[in-house]
Amino acid sequence: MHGTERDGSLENQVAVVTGGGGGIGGAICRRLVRAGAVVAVCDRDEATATATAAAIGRNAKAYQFDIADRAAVISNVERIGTELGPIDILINNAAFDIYGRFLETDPDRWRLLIDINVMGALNMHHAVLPGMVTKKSGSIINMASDAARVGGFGEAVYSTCKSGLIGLTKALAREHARDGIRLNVVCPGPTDTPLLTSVVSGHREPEKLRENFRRNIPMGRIGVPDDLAGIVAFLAGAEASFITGQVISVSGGLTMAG
Amino acid sequence: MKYDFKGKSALVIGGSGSIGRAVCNRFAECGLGVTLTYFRNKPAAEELLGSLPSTGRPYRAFCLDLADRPGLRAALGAIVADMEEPCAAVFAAGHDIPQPFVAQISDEEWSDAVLMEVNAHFVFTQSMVPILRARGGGSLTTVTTTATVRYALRNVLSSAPKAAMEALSKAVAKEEGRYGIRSNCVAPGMLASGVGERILQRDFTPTAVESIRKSIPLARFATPQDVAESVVFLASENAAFVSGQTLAVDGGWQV
Repeated sequence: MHGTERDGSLENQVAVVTGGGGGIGGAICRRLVRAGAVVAVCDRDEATATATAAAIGRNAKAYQFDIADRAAVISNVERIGTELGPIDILINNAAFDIYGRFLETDPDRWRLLIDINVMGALNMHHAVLPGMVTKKSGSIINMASDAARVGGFGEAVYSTCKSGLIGLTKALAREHARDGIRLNVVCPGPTDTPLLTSVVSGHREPEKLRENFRRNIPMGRIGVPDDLAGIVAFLAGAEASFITGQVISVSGGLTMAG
Repeated sequence: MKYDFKGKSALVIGGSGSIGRAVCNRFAECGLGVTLTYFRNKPAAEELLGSLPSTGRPYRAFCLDLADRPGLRAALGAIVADMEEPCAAVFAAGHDIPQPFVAQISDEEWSDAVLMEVNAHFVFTQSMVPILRARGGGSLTTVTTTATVRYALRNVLSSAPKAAMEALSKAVAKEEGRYGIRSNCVAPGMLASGVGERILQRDFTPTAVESIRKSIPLARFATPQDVAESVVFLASENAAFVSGQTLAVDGGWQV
């Protein structure tokens, strides 16, 4: 979308992208590799992780694990460190949602969402941060959601989780600024991915919901995965070296929080 | 980060200040033509024009009095009419803002701040909209301050007008998005150069300056380069779906 010229701003940096086999995750992996990074494409779905890494070729490697499984996170982060080198960049992108009004959900579903969206992010930060503290450098980007900033109808638990991710990011931005580690949040608005399709299909009139999203976006279109990749590459690199603890939406003007 | 601004040009209001200068320089490095405006400091503007990298693209500087209410619109129109393929316009003007407590501010000081910032920014924004619409879109970026979110003592003559400018930026993002116009703000923390340096030296003791520095999580002041990188990113295709946002470049101070 934005050309394929190699960029070099992240030359030889090691990046870990969770949910790397998904729509937005894949676009982020491709963009980081184009900027010169070596990327660990992490996903609990081995097939999509492998396909994304294989399509990129050199400088991308697939890792299959579930971020909700703490032991698996620890062993895979260790493996990435051994195989690719010390981790410079972490993109917590993996996420999961099931559309439904809060009163129609039950604690089992809450736990499912909290395990992936909150526990998964805690596991990743806890496993990756010590190496960044030792190196005295690092950049972490957490993919939250506009649902966290403005509330998502039919997304009560997801909004809860993503607000939590924003709080976590700000707290860790404070705790680790003096270690040279920056943490920021990117909030995608409605973006054309399999996740959006699954959320929309839970609605009574899926096409109406999708059209409703589109009409409410000032720029007149639903986002595409590549829209997120630019800001992630920017925040990961030296151009953003004084930006930490920030939350920025990529939503074509749909949400203008703050 | 590599940018692709083929054949385009940018307008920088307040190009002779320390932030404006860094923005002009970064745009020129990315291959854009640059038109900048200055007010009092003609030598600085001319020196800057001469120091921009030679890329074959045109660089121009014009004197513009932001406080000239009746003349501003026509002056801006004439400046922009002269530009080739304008794709980005940046409002980076900053005058030396006094640092009084609210109780000490005179009516005149308040009106001056509003005239120089809110009014000039409005005329700038309204002048750019039809030009960018006619081109099928473009990017407006306003340099504001992190103090609109977390108040810094004695800073209201900056933070209040800048908050109004952020509101206008969001209004344009929402109203003009359908015409491909994006509008965003970059909100720096305290700088230790240009106007920021003068304020730090004049209004704060060295001990106070040190304690401000320590209150910034990343433990340093912002640089013009920090601000310029964010401005150029937001103007680029890499930010094609980013609109109505304010990006703080403040080392985490506002968290």
